[in-house]
Amino acid sequence: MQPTGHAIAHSFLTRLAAWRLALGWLSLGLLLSACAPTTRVVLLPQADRTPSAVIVRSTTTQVVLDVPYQRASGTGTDALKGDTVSAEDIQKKYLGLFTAAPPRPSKFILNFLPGGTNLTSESEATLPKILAEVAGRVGADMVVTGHTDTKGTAAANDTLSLQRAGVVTQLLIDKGALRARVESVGRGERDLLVKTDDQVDEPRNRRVEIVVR
Amino acid sequence: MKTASRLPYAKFFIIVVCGLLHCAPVVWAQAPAAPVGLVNMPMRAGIAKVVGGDVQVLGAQGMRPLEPGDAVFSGDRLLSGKYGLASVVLRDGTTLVLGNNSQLQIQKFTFDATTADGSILVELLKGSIRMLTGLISKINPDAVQVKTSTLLVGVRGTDFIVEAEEPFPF
Repeated sequence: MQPTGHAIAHSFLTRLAAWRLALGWLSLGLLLSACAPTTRVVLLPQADRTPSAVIVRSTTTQVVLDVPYQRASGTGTDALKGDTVSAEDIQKKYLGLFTAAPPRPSKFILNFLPGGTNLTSESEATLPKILAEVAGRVGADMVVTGHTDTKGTAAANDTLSLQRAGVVTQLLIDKGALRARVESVGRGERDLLVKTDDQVDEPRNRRVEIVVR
Repeated sequence: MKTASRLPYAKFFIIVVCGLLHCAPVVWAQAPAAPVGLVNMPMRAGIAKVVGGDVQVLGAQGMRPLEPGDAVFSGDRLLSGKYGLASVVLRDGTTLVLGNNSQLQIQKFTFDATTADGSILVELLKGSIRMLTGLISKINPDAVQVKTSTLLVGVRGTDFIVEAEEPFPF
């Protein structure tokens, strides 16, 4: 039987309706995925070029970025996408994140005469340089960290290292540093500058490190 | 009929009022404790460095503009305006840079300066941040995390950027 004009028109219209329905669902899907907020993570190179990495996790997938300027993007629900971006594009797109970064911290090392909390004369002369560094920074703060050698017990060295840090902190405050911007820390014999066995008298380990940042 | 249909709302209203009354004494009881809290000021999490444009901090004491040299605390939220930029160095040396039109919450910061143990959790609610990790990450990389509404970022001693689009309000 030949289809009548009516029947042709009818089948055309049902197909059209089906297409429109499919199209509707598709556009709704696109709209929803466009609405889901995207997070982007970009690995930057280390200042000293040492290797580094970040691990990015969504609910379903995990991506490790371990080459500078690799980027992971995702909405959390779909699989993470990875690509590599150019250094120029990143510096342009996130310019403020580079301009507002504070200058790299400066570190000073002061040494002590054996056993006590008296600075060597050279170290005493370094104090004004430290204060000049503080004055040259916006919102500067200092961490004054005392260290000891491995002579004596760990507990006694914790106390001695904190005393050394306290002495230097007081000297800096006397010379005009703000109390609220200095933190005194004693790390005892945990962080030796020169690795030694226990119970070794090592002048380079009897020190206070001052980080100005 | 009308009264019957309103009954659930009335019930709801009573529940809400009871809830408020129940909560209220707790709030009042906490108020006099504030001066004690001031004496026992928590150790700061970090100090603001470069601040440009409009940047506010929402903390336990309410909202205030952020200035270079200001202390920021665990729990504080930093909010930057269209031209706002800020950097904060946390006690362990971790540096956070906040981009324009961004919101960042320091969800958790704990740090023992003697042992260098601690943990950092920051949440980027919108906008962009750059993070340069410090001592905590060096001792225990798993203790430093950044989250957005959709993703979690773990760190292996590094410098990176996270950008989060603002979540839809529904």
